This record gives sequence, C-alpha cells and structure tokens, in this order.
Amino acid sequence: MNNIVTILIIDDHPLVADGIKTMLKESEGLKIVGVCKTAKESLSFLMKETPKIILLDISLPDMDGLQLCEAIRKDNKESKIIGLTSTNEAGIITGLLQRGGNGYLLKNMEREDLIDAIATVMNGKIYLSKDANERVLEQFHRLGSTTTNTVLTRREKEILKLLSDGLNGPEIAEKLFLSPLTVETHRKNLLRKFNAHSVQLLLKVARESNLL
Amino acid sequence: MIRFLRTSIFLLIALSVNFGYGQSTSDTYLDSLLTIATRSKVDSNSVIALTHLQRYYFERGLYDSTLKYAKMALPITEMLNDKKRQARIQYNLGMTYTNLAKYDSAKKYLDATQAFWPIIHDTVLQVSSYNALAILSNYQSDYPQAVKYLLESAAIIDKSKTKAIQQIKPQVYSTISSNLIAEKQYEKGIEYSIKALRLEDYPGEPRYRVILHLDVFDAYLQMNQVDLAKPHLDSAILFNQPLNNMVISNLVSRNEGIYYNHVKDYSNALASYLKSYQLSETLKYDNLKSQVAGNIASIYLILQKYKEARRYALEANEIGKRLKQLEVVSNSYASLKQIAIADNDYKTAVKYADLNKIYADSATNAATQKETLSLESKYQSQKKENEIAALTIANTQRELEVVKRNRLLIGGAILSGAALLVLGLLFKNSRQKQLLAEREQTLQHEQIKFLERQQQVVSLQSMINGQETERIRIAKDLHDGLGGLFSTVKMYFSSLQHDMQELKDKELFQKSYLLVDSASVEIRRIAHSMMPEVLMKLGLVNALKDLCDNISAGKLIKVTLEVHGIQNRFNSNTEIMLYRIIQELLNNIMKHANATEVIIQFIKEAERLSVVVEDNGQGFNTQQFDESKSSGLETVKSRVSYLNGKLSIDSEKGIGTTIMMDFLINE
Repeated sequence: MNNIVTILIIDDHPLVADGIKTMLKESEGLKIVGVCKTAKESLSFLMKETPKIILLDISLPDMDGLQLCEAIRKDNKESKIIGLTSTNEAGIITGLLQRGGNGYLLKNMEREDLIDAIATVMNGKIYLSKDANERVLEQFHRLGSTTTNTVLTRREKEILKLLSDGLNGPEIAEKLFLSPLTVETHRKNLLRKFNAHSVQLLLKVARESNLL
Repeated sequence: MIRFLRTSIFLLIALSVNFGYGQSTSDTYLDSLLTIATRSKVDSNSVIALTHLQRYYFERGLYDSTLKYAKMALPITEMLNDKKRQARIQYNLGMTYTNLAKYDSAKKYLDATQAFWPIIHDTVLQVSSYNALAILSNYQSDYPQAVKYLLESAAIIDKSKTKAIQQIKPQVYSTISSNLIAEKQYEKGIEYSIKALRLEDYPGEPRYRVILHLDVFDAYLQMNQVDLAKPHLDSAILFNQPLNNMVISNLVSRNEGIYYNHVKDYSNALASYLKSYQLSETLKYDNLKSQVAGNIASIYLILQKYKEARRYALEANEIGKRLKQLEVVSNSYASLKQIAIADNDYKTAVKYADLNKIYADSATNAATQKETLSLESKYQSQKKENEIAALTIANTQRELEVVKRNRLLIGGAILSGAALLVLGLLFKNSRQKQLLAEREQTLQHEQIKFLERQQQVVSLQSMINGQETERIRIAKDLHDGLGGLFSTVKMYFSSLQHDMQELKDKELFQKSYLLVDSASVEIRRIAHSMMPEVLMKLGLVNALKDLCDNISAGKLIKVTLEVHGIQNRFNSNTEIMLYRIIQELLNNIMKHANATEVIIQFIKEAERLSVVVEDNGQGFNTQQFDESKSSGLETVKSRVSYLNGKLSIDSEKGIGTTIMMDFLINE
C-alpha cells in the first residue's frame, strides 16, 4: 500500500478542489485523502496525517499561503508541498521555494502538468511549471548580474568626482547648478551606499573599487 | 468672600524642555565654557559654549547672564548661517523675557522662531516654541490664543512618534488643561490632565506629574468638589517632595493655600500663601507673586488685619497693572474697597468699587470662553476651514491698514517744511509698524498656505486610500473568484480531453480550450496590474525587483534596482504608495524619455528614506514642459505629498533626468 501517493488539497475555492479531483480521478496510484479550506483546518489535519503530497493554494482566507508553507515545514519534513496559485510573479515563486516548497503550479494547468508535477517532486526534484520556470530563471540571471557591485547614478558619479577634487557641498551645488540640499542628499546617499562614515573613507573605498 | 481667581498655575513649562545639554555644572566646566566663548576666533564652538552658558544661567534663574550670553551667541549663529541654533537661542531669549515679564520682547523672539519651521526640522523645538507662545498668551490672559497655540503643538505631537516628543506630551496636555480650566471648562481640563497622567509609564518629566495633579485639584476645587480635589493635592505634595525644586514647591504651596482658604482654615492658608510669596520673590516670578499677594490680602482682610491687607493688595494691584493681569487688578480693587469701608472712607471705597467693576468687566469675557470651546472641537474634528477664513479676514484688515497708513504718509509728506522734521520721526516709527504689519502678513499668508496644503493632503489621502483599497479588493476578486472559475473550467476540459481522446481532433473543443486558457491568463494580467501579489505578501523590495525584472525582460530598457538599509517592511499603505510612484515614473520614462538605462535607488538611514529614479533619456525643461505629458508626474507629486515627502527634478537636455524624493518614515 506504500506505493499509493496520498494527496491533501488546501484551497478555499471548492470548485478548484473539485477540478483537481476530477483531473486525478482516473489516475492510478494517486489518492486524495483530504480537502481543507483554511490554514487552521489544514494544520489540524496535518497533526494526524502525513500525506505524501500537499497541494497548497497560496491565498487562503485566514493565513498567507507562504506563511502556512513555513508553518507546515516546522513539524513536517516528509510531505512534498506544491504551491498552487493563479499568479506567476517571480517573487512569490522564489518565496515559496525559500519556505520549503517543492514545486509550483499555476492554477490554469493541464492534467498532464499536475501529473508531471507530482511525479517530479516524488522523485525528490523541484518542479516549476513552464511559465514559472522562465520567471525564476530571469530573476536569477539578473541577480547574478546586478548585486555584485554597487551601481552609482550619474549625479552620484559627478559628485563623487568633485568630492575627490576637494570641493565642498556648496561649491559642488554651484558647479552643478543644484540646490545645496540636493547635493547633501546625494552625499548622504553615497556615504550610505559605501557604508562610509566620512568623505575621506568614501573616497578611499571608491578608489579601491575603481569608481574614481 | 472675595474669591481670587487664579489665572493659571503653570509657569515653567519651558524649563523642563531639555535639549540634552550637558549636565556637568562644575566650576571648571563653566571656566572652560567661558574660555571657548570669549576666544577671539568665533566659530560653531563658541556658539555651543555660549548656548551652554546661557542655558546654565537660565536654569538657575539668573536671567541677566542668560540674556548676555544668548545675545552674544545670536549674531554668531546668523553669521555662520546656523539656523538650528539661531532658532534655539531665539526661543531661549523668548523664554527668558517671559520669565522677566517683558512680554513684548518675549513675543518678538518667539515670533521670530516661527519663521524657521519651513527651513529646519526640529519638532521638539517647534512644539516647545508653540508652548512658550501659549504660556505668553496665558500670562496676558489671552486664553483663546493660548489654546490656539497649544492645539498647534498638540497636532504636531499627535503626528510625531519620536521619543523626545512623546516625553513632552504630558506637558502639552497639562498646558492645554490649565488653559481650559482658566477658561472655566473644568471637565475638559480634567480630561486632558487625566489623559496625560495615564500615559503609559508616565514618560514625561516628574515635575509635570505634580503640575498635572495640581491642575486636576484646581479644576475640582473650582467646581466646588473638595472631596475629589483633595486627593490630587495630596498626590502633588507627595510627588513634589523628592523633587527639591523651588518653582514647583512654589506652585504646591500656593495651591495648599487655596485649599486651606477654601475650607476656611485661614491660619494655614496664610502660612502657605506666605511661603509661596517668599518663593516667588526669590525666583522673581512676578506673575505668580501678584496673584499670591492678592490671596494674602484677602486672608488678612478676613482676619481683619487691614494694614497688612492693604500692603499686599496694593502690591498685587501694582504688579497686576504692569503685567496686565486683569483679574488680579480687579480683585485687588475689591479688597481695597473692603479695606476702605472698614476705614469708614466711603469716598475711596466708591472709587475702588468703580475700578473693580471696570477691570472685572474686561476680565470676564463670555465670548472668549465660547471661542475656546469651538477651537477645541475644531481640533478634534481636524477641520481648519474656519481658521483659514478668520486668517484671511485678519489679513485683509491688515492689508487695508497698511494701505491706510501709506495714504496718511503720502498726505503728510505734502505738508509744510516745518512739519517735515516731526513727520520724519513719525514716518520712522510708522515705517517700523508697517514693516511689522507686512511681516505678520507674510507670516499669515504662509500659515494659510500651510493649512490649505494640509487640507489638500487630507482629502487627497482619503481619495488615494479609497482607490487603493478598491484595487486590492478587485484584484483579490479577480484572482480568487473569476481566476479560480476559469482555472477550474480549464481543469475540466483537460480531464474531459483525457477521458475522450477523440476531442483532440475536435476543432471547436480545442478553440474553446485555448480561449479559456487565454481568459485566465488575461485575468491574471489584470489582477497583477491592479495589485501585485508579491507586494502584498513579500513587500516593496521584492515587488520592485519583479517590476524591474519584468521591464528589463523586454530588452528595450535596462532597469537596475539599488536598495540600501531596508531590512523591514513599511506599512502597507506606504509600500503601495512608493510602488505606485515608481510604477508611474517608469511608465513616464518608457513613454517619453527614450532612455536605455534606468537606476532606481532606495536608501534608508534612520528615519530618512531617499528615493532616486534616474534615466539616461532625452531630458526635459523642468520650467516649461507639456502639461499633457506631465499628468503622470502630477500623480507622482500628489502621491509624494500623500507620504509627506519632497520631490525635486533635475533634468538636463540630452543627458537624462534625475528625480529625487525624500521621505521621513518612522516605523
């Protein structure tokens, strides 16, 4: 009996749950063991049983789905959690994976997607629907390209240059036709960006990072 | 029995406003301050030293030295263009003159501080200054004006969350309550005092706890509820004991006197009053001294010691006239009248009776009471319209006055040469008055603008709030309702196709299948643009990351996001508003700027949030740009003002545009 994949559906929308049931009804080896409409209901269900798969809607009436995923993971490391949503925002997808989710499905999926997702996570892999996959890849791609070094705005570059020439705030303001307050804001921002407490330190760091 | 109305019991509110000056008071400390202050080279250090010095003497009631050092410091701050200290010193001068009962000078300096608020950000000082103006008005028995100032400061306090401000909350409430009590609105007065006393952990100065209890005591006593009043007097005495503060002890003694007087224990009343009189003399608090002298006179009168009674009544009368304390003067005449009757001097008695009536009439003023009440309710409902109207009227009157004065001046100038010299002098005087009037006028203009702006912001806020709430609701409905429905239909179709493989060849079925799919994709798109789920669930930074990535994915424009110092989420309104601002600015850039690169930068340090959006597009002339194109920018501006932020645009043709926004976010 151990080969049967038990499934818990967590979705407050009865139609969606019914749709999933319909899609799975003729699949062998898959068994829906419960349908919960709220986070509370699901947590008490999971106290008693450990389904192999949890299909988790991320917008529930009483708790955010991402939080629920985290809460489930606290006591339950075995069940594979597949997020189920109508949104494909990259932040939500990565958010779910960070909180212990194993996969991510868009609600407007096809039967094959669902079967595929279940099979994939049961094999210990991460499943992302095709669309979600692209989003996440895009984000990771950009993460790699942008966060490594601090980017300066044009004005900041100009002001950094003038600071290194030894000009003070009011002089820079005059030179760039800016208000002294604006220059002051740029200066403060520069200090914060480089975690420097003084202009001297700022210039030192900037030189070291080849920004001057 | 003659009941001496006590104007109010608060005196030293300003004393307890501590700006964090050094506490050290040793001689060497004073010496070193003097050395720095009197160096020939003047710089910001001399200002700091002088500020400490004048503060030191102020706290010890040595006002001559206070004035000396403050006046030495003032021109230096002007020279150094150090607005913050300049304001502070003017405030201190105002307080010193107030305590010296030189109200005109005090008003001059305190009014001067008002001009700084648009320039400097020092909420504590601003609140303190409003309080000082309130005290000044109170001393001159102008209670409505006092309440007006206090409500200003209460409004600022209610808005601010900083600790320093929370600490002075009790004293502002206390001052409001004192004024309300002086206006005979006892219940309201008690309400404010109790409110202050109940503030959690009593954050304020211990001195204020005493004063607040005295306020409540006073109010109950005036309502003739001695049983309710007495416990508060006892509390005040109790809390006063460890303080060892002459000023507060003075107030406590005076109120003890009032209590004993009320329960007809005249010997104890006299003893308490005399103690308060002594303390007032030592402290040079003429304001209280006159009132206590009046109290003492009335007690001696009851004890039939006419000689002593006359002495104190005359003193109360003299100081009262000098300080324009109408009630004190009126009451002193009442005492003098009684004394004259006891002396069988009826002629003098009639004279005093008349004077008593004249002063009593001007002191009791039913109209002022009404005004205070209406102001109070205005504050509660946060409506400023009447104030604006009143200011406009006052303003117009001022303008007319200026015109009238100008006409007189022109007329006078035509007069003969002999009169010229006299006129010249008159002109100088009049010119100064005119300047003063003009200055007041601009101040009022500013005030009107400020109030109008506040009103705009409030209505805008509610509009934007409504809009966003509605968007959240619609997005949720789309996601959960319609989105769920379409998804389910698609699931059914998918199952159906699985069960009946022949459907794969049915064109109509495949078309329906596809349409259902595009419908659910479309719903997702609309819901997302209404309110991105990531913004709600994971906050601004994640939502902005998504936004930038989505735009960059289009390959036409590269959007980089720089975030520094944001660890926690802001409240959801703030997040939505900041998100919308960025969304709108990016829209504008994509539509009009022809840019290829955009940097969005969020930098948070303490309460300051700086947001910069910079593109490398074609730029535009910030002075004259197309209104139709700028509608997007207008929305941004209104959203920035929703968050009480500042926006500045710095654009260069052919190089790009930098939009900078600054916010104060204290959460």
